[in-house]
Amino acid sequence: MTHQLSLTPHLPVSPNEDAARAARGDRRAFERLYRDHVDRVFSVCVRMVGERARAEELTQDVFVRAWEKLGTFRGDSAFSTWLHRLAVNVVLNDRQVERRRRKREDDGVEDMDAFASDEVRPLPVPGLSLDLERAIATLPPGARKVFVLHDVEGYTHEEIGTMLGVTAGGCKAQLHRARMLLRRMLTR
Amino acid sequence: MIAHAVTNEGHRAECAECAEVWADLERISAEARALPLLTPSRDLWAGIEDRIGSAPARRRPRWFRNPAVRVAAAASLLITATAAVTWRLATRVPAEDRPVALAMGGGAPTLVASPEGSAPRDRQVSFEREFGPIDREISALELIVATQRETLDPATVAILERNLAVIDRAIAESRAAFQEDPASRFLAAQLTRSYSSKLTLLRDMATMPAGT
Repeated sequence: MTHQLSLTPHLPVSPNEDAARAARGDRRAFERLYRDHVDRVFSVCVRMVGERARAEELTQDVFVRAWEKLGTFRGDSAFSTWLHRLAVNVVLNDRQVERRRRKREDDGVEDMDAFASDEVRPLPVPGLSLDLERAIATLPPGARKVFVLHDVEGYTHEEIGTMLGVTAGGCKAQLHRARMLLRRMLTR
Repeated sequence: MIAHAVTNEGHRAECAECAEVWADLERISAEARALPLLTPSRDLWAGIEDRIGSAPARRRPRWFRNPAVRVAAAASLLITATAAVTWRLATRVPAEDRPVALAMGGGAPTLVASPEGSAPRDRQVSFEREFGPIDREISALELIVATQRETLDPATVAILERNLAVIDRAIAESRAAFQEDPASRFLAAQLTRSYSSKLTLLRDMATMPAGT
């Protein structure tokens, strides 16, 4: 008597299919999505916030949020695009919350528009060894966000303007300022 | 250096300094696009898995997660869902004045109502059709109450359950008596009132705020 072994080949599952499975509560499918996308999510988080530890916390927040919102993902776009946009929103909302907290702590003193601030954050960010990575991390928060979203992540000025609540013109000005600051830091 | 000068292509064609700055900026932008992906210093999955627990991904909107909103929504739903039954019960009360008989044929028991000016045969309504919707509404409310129960104070739950038990006994007795004496208008009205009391109590329980 011969035993027929199941030799069903392991077929790769598309991210959108895994997303559909995860939306039905399949945690293994969700873990696969995490493994496939964690670096991309972490990269945008760490570049936007400039702090590794906080970026790791935010990366976790992004995936928890993604799990909660998977039911709203209809597969019209690539899962990676949907997740990436979610990550950006989580980071932007986090910064907004932090700004509001700081504002309260300052006893009514408004944290004046970090978007326009020329404050440069102190070096360095451990683990970011490249000169450009270090330089990006030291940009003022507003300029850093625009630079990362536009030059690193490829969003348009219009998209960034919508995310940040500024005009496309204002976004372009911030981008130019960010590039000029980076040039100054990199050519010292 | 004025930003406009650097970004102006015509100006850059004549100004070597601005052309050099522009070239640097383009180089920075190109390097940024080519930055490699970064990896967290640790595996973050365990923390994520802990936080998502066993809760399934749901399509519920954010507002629905607010318990107060959920209770309000449930209340609206219940009022809508039971409105028809409540109306039926309310309009059945005048039936006390009508001759009523329950025919126990081969199938479901049949309620025979005789409003003024109508022949009894024309106004035969199946018992199931009269009380079936009420039973189904009660079952639906009981399901909602079962989930709501754990949010209520145990002492409140105990009192409500005692009241429910009294009403259930009244329903059972009225129903049995009604089947024995289908012509009794009093028993028909009594059964209707008992059902109505149970619906009211269940509806109240289902819409009670958490912690009551």
